[in-house]
Amino acid sequence: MITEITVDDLPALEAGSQLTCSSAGSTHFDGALANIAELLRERGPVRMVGLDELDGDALCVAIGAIGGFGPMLELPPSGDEAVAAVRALEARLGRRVDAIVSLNASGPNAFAPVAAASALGLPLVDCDGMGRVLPLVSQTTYALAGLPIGPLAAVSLAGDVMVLDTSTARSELLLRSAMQAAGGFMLCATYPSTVDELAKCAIRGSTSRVVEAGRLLLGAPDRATLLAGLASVAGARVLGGGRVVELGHATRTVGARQYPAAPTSVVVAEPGPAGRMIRLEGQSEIFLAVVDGVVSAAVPDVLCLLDQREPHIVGLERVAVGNDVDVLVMPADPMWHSGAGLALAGPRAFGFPVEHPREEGAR
Amino acid sequence: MRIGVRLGASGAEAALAHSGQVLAAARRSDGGWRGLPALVRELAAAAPSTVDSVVWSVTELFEHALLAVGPRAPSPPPFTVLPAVPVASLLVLPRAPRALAHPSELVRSLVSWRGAVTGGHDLFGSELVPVDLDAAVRAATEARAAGLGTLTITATGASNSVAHEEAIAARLREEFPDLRIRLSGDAGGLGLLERDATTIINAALLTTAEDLIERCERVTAAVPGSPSCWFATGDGGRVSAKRLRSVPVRSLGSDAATVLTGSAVLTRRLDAHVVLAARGLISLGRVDAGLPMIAPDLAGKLSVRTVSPIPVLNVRGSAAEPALAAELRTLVGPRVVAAFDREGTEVADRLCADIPELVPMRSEANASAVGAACSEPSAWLDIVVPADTLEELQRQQHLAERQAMTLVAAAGAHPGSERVISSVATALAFLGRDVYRLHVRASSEPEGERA
Repeated sequence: MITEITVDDLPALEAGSQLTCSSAGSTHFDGALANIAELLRERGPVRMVGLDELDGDALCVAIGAIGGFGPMLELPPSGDEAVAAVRALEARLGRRVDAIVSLNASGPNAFAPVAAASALGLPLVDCDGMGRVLPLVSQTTYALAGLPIGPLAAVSLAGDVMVLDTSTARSELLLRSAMQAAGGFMLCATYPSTVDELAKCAIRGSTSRVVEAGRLLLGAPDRATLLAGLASVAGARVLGGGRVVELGHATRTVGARQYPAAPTSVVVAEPGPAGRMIRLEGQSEIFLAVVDGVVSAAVPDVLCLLDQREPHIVGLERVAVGNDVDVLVMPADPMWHSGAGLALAGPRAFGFPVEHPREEGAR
Repeated sequence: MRIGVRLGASGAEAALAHSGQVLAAARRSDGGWRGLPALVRELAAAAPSTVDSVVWSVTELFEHALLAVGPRAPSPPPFTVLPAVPVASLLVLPRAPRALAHPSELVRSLVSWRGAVTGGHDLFGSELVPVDLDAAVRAATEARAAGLGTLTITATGASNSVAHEEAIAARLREEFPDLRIRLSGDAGGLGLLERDATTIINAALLTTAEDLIERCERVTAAVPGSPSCWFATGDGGRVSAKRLRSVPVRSLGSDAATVLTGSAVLTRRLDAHVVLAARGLISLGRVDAGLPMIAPDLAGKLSVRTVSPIPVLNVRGSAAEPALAAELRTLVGPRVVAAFDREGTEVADRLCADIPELVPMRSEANASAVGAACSEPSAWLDIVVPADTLEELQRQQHLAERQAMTLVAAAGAHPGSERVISSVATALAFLGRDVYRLHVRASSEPEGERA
C-alpha cells in the first residue's frame, strides 16, 4: 500500500485514474494537476492511511465532483475548493472532519480528494465508494450499505457554496440542478460517516491501485507488459480489439432524464475474416459489451478502450471512427455483484433489458 | 504543377509534383536563403508546364524560433529566422489560479508577464462573474511598463462566449492604441490552457512569421509564371501566405503531416500505416485517403497541447523495434516504412526482411517536400453545441460541415472541390444536458482527383 502521495505521483495518479473511468471523458487534466502540484509543493506530501489506522469514531467525508470533464478543461479547479465545502459541512454537523475518503477514485475524482486532503491538512483514506465511475453520486457502496449521502456541501468553480440536508434521492436531484446552473461542475463533500460505518462498505486500496495502474500505463516498455501488469493490478483482460468503425448517439427525446448523459454506442470491428463485432453501449461511460450479439461484459464491471498504439485510455469524448483500440474489462468490487449491487448499478439500472454475465440466468 | 519545399536543419529539399506524381527533386544543404532561388528555379525549369504554386514546409524554422527564446536554444539552422518575441498574457477567470504559470515549459518561456483578472463564462455561455475591466487596464499598464508590445487574452468559456475577451480588448485599445492584442476566442477549441498556449505561441511567432513568409514569397515570386505562395499546416493541409501571417501556429506539426502524406504518395499507398525511421527513433502514423490521421490537444514534439490538430504519431526509441515488428505483423492493410538516414535505413531494411508485406519508400525525392507539394487547403472546426434532439444534433453537424467547407473555399480551394473528410460528434460526459463536441475536418479534393 502507498503511504503518501507526492507531487511526483500526480502523473501516475492521472494516468491510472483513466483506467476505472469506463472510458468516460477526456484524457488529460493539465490545468487541474498544475494547481494540485502547486498545492503539494506548498504543503508537502499527502499522508495516505488505511481505514484500520484511524479511530473507529473518526469522522470522514467523501470528496468528489459531480458534473462534466469538459468544464474542468475550460476552468481547471484550483485544488482548494474542498476547503469551503468541508468547512460548510462541519458548520452544519457541529463537528470537525478527521479524514478524507474518495467518493470514487476514478478520473478527476481520483485527485480531487488528494487536493482536499492537502488543502485541509488531513489524511487521505485509501478507499472509495465505487471502484469506478458511475453517473450518480448515490450509486456507491456507501449507499448500498445504507449510509446517508447527507448532509452534504457543494462548491462551484465560481465559489458558490451550498449545503443540502435531505434524502439521498432528493439530494441527487437538487445537486444536479445546481451543478447545471453552476456551469456543469461542483465539488462535493458527501457521506459524512465514521470509520466504523465505512469499514463495512468502503472499497479498500482504491487510490493505491490507481497509482499502480498509472505507473504501468506510463512506464510499461511494451503492450504485453502493460496488459500483464493491468491484469495483476486490476484483474483486467482484453475482451477483443480492432478498429472503431461506427459511433452513434441517441439524444434523449422521450422519457425522464434519469442520468446526466446522452446514450452513445461504439462499434469495434476485429480484423480479419473471423473478426468479431464488438458493440459497446453506454452513456457518458461504457456500460455493455455485446460481442457478435452476446452480452459479454456489463456494468458494474469496468469496460474501457485502450489505444493499441499509445498506452492510454481512449475516452468517449475523444473516440473517433478509425481509432485502433483494445476493449478491456475489469471486474467490479464483489459488493457490486450482489443482488442489491446489480439492482443499483447493473445493466438494468441503466435501461438495458439484459442480465449481467454473472447473474444466474445469464450463465 | 506544384513545387514543395521543406526547410530545416539539413538544408532545403524540394520536389516538383503534378496530380500526385513526382516529376523531379532537388536539394541544397548550403547557401541558406541565398541558395533557395536557384533550387526552386531548377525545379521550375524541369516542369513541363507552368508552376502554379509553391508550398513551403517551415515547421522546423518556427520551432527553432520558439526554442531560441528558452534556456535550451538549439543550434541555428542554415536559414536564419527571427526568434519568437515574448508576450504578456492575461487570464480571465472567476479567481486567480493557484498555478498562474502555464504548465508547458515552452509557453512559460514565451511569456514575460502574466496576470489574471476576474471574469469568464461557463461552458454553456453563462457569465460566471462580471469582467473587471479596470483590473485589466491595470494589468495592461504593468505589462506595458515591462516593455511588452503584445498581450494575449484567454478567458474561461471563450469557446462559447467571447464577450469578456472582446470587452477587455475594446477597453485596452482605447487606453493603449499601439498594444497588439490577441484573443483566445479567435483560436476556438475547448480547453483554457490549450487555447491559451495556442494564442501565446501564435502571438510570439507573429514577427518571425512576417519575416519568414516574406522571404518565401520573394523566392516564390522569382519563379516564372507568378505561382502562388502557400504553407503546409499541421493538419495535413496548406494555407496562404496571407493567412499564415495571422496564424503561424497552424504551421506547427506540418513536418510530420507532410512526411506522412509524402510517404503515401511516393509508395502509392494512400490508406496505410506509415513507419518513419530516423536517428534512434521509430514513429508509427497513419494516412487515410492520403491525409494524415490527426487530433487536437496532442503534446507533440514541443510537448505543449494546442487546439491546432497535428498528426497522431506513436514515437518510440529504436530499442522498441522488435515490439514494433510484432505489432506491424498484426496490422491489417497496407504498411509503409520510410527511412531518413543511415540508421533509419538499417531499421527499414530489417523490418522489410522480417515482414514481406511492408512496403519500403525508396525515392530520391524528400517525402516532406512531396507531401507539401501535394497538400490542399484545409479547415478544422472544434466546437461545443447543445442539441436536445437527434434532428438538432444533425442540423448542428450539418451547419458545422458547411462552415468548414466555406473555410476551405475561402482558403483558396478550387471551386467545387471542397469536401468533408470527417465529422465527429461526441457527447460531453455527465453534464446533464445534451451537449456535444463537434470536430469537423474539411479539405479540397487532391489535384489529381478533380475532374
